[in-house]
Amino acid sequence: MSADSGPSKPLCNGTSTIEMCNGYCSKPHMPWFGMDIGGTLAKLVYFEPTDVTPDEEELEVETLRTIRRYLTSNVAYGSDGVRDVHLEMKNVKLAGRVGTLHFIRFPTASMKSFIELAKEKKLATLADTICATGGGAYKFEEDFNKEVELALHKLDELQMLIQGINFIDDTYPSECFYWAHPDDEEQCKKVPFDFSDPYPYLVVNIGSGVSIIAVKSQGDYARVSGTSLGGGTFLGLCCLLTGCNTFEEAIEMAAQGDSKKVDKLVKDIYGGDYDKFNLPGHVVASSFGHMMCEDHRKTVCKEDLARSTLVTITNNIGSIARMTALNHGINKVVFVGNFLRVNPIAMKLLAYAMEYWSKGQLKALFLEHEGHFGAVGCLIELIKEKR
Amino acid sequence: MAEYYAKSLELSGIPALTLTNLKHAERIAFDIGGSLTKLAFFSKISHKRALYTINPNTKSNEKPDALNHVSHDSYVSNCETEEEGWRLHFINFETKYIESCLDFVKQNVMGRSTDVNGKIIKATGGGAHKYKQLINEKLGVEISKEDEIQCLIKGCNFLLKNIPDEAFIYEKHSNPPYKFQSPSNQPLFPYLLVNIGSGVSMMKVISDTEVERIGGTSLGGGSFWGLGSLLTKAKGFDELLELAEKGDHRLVDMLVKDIYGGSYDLIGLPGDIIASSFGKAARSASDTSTHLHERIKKGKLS
Repeated sequence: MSADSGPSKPLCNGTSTIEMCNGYCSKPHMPWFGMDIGGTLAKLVYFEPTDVTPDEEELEVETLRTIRRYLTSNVAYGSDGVRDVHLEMKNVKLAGRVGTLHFIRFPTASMKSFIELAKEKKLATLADTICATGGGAYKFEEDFNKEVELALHKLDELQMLIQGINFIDDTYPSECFYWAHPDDEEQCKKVPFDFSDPYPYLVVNIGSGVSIIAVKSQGDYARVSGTSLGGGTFLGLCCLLTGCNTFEEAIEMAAQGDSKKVDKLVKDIYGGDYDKFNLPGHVVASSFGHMMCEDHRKTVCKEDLARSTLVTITNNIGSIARMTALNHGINKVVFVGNFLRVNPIAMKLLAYAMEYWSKGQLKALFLEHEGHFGAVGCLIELIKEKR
Repeated sequence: MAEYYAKSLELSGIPALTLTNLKHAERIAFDIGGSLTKLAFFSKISHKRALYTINPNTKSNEKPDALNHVSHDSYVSNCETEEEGWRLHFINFETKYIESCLDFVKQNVMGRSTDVNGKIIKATGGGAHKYKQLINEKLGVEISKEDEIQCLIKGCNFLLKNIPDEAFIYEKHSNPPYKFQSPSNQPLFPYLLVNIGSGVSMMKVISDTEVERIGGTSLGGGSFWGLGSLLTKAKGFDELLELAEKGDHRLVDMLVKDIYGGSYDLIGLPGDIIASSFGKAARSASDTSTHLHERIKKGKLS
């Protein structure tokens, strides 16, 4: 190791505290993490170094060790923080270090608790900025400044999303996949898709709301469409219609329901197919279209309502995605976002709808790390920085 | 405009009075939709018309305005004539009452001994397929099933070309916000027709007869009506609209500013735009006040 100028001093590799830092940092200070604070969920990705030498371990500051242990030995944090262990990525090479990427999420509504925790763990003694994206990076900036005494380096959510997708796809085997035979319960399965030559592609990010981004080549991307009918709508409507409280409950109910009792199909109106416009009888003509009728309302259960909500939101997104892809001459559509977490019904519906309505021209693709890309993008941005 | 919205017919409650004019119908047609059945008919109406001539005392330099009007003072009424003209009537009611309506038509229109064979009853919409047999049984005539889309554009084109003030534009911040359009010499075609019924069809209208369905969505009027019936205690479409008028959707929908604390400048999204419809509903699901019902209504309309 050698310094850039002056007498030789060991380069700070980020494991010392700010006070102890000699200022010749080759890398930002540990802990390395990125945050994506969305409308409903806050996503945090933490890089746990696994190549810590015995010398380094001795020098490691107590605070840093506490944080590292807290994050990696728990899978639940507080009352609603969760670490997605199945998404953990081992042996990740990042800025000359090797480590494990951990994926953590908690409701944005619990942001205050997180800030308290960061303050309690004295995060500010270790790092001077946090790279964060999503609306919350703007909304909670002042709170971070005042309470945790940390500056938030605000990054654009779309840029971070694309950056995150690129990094993870290069690093994690079989990150990208599609569903073969999505409409056949017996034969349906995940098939890896080689995304190494991706351009151009469409990203449909289904969070609280939906943003659709056209990515023409590296660095050339733009938000081209979106809809306010997203995951937040699904959860909100389900809670109102069924009395459920969480996303998992809503999905569980939807899995058991039958939306055909709730939605009005083409055959309910025409008595069969509507041949003139190639609309088969089983297609939904009017979502929730039976519900103005009291007799029908009496025959449906909460599970049917949850299913219909899921189907309606999903098909609407699929329809907009398809039209956007058509308008931009793009045939690969990647669906990401935490709406698709534990939600194979929605994924398969999207896969089927895209293929069906485009007569096989469009391909629906999915990524294993769902809604974590924004946070990953921030992590990448962090380690790019040199002091 | 909601206050002028046509009230749905309640056949059980309001018998002959609303359908009175139907007795004089010369020509009837049905559009039997997923939720509503629309009935249109022509009847002959006699009315008096006053004939005016220009007042010889009018200032000669008064010119008609843009709409070809001159002031009242310029005219003098000469005489009245009695004229016969056609009047076009419109009725709609929930498709579930179709049988009652058919009974009425049978008694009051078909029942007239004169000219039964001359009565042309055309029908369109999904129900023209579904209720073909019922209509045949009740009215004893074979209805002429017409294609829904062809009828739609024929009707649209007819009204757009012939009826003044048929089409209008809505400008939220103008006063008045509604700007009515007269039939003009501008070419009518092509235009995009968005038909918002139970569901939505979007069609490219190329000519009087050529049309292509280029898109659609299942989130239509039926969805609003259905969800509204599930989420509120409103009894009927009109009541839902009334509730929506009073509600504030911002308490139910998650706006950009709720996520960003302001606008999302980088992509030009103002803070007031809805980022996630019903995005706040999960948290307030336990709130059972009537205010919630109103807020939800507004949320759904947007």
